[in-house]
Amino acid sequence: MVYLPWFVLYEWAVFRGPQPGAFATYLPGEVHWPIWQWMEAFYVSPYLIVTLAPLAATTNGVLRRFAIAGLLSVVAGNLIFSVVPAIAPPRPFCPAGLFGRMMITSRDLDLNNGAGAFPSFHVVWSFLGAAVYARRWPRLQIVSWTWAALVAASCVLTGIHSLADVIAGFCLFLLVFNYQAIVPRSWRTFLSNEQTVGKRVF
Amino acid sequence: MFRITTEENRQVLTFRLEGRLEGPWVEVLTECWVNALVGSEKKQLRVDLNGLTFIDGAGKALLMRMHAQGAQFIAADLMTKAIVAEIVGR
Repeated sequence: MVYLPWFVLYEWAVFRGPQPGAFATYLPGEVHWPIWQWMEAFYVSPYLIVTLAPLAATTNGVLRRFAIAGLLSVVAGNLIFSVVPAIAPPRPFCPAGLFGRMMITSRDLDLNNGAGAFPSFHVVWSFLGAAVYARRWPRLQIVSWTWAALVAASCVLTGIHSLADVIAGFCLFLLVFNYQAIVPRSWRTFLSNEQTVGKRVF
Repeated sequence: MFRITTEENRQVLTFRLEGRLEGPWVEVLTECWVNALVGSEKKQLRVDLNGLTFIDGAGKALLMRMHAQGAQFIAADLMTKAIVAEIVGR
């Protein structure tokens, strides 16, 4: 229910390509930052780890928070894709070995056009997934958060995203993850189909 | 946007270049080329230019150096052939 809308809307943003007047989000000098091809291992890891995250949810509340935050990020992120004509053209690199081939494949799948990069959904999903695993195994939560941070770093160090994409992705994560502080209760009830009878305190 | 992909077999290492060879990307291709020269001493080095849409002055200078160091260029269309002719000085 959460991944499908994300997949469809993200692919649509990529297929649509850069908007007229698109600008690159790289900072001055950022294009010279190194590309570490082994970081591709972290870059592709969310496809498995985040996909499995709902299975690791310990309570309905954790699962609900993941799902609603994910849906809100899909709405907000795609709104940003439509309104802000920002792109991050993938930085070229000299492909070597398995990770180099994987990077080329990743870029082919993203049509290599830099669209759908700001904010980085890799960052949003990784931190949302990490939050679920952190609740599942609280003693190992440092591992979850470190993994999400490494995925965020991999976005830049594989040359797929700019630092601005990653920061925007993290800000979006913070926003949607704390939706309870922002979204009105009536909307939250609608989104989550919560049974509020007997719970409300007036 | 610029992209480098490589294809390698026992005799030949082929670089396929796509997009705009300009600015900072010239440095990336230089690094690739130097690595190829060091790592593939006995291989024939080919550079497929068909996917290029633009080459700036520094890019042309690099292609000239690559040619001088033994690179063979692959060019199919007229525009790319003209650029190759300019680079190899024919």
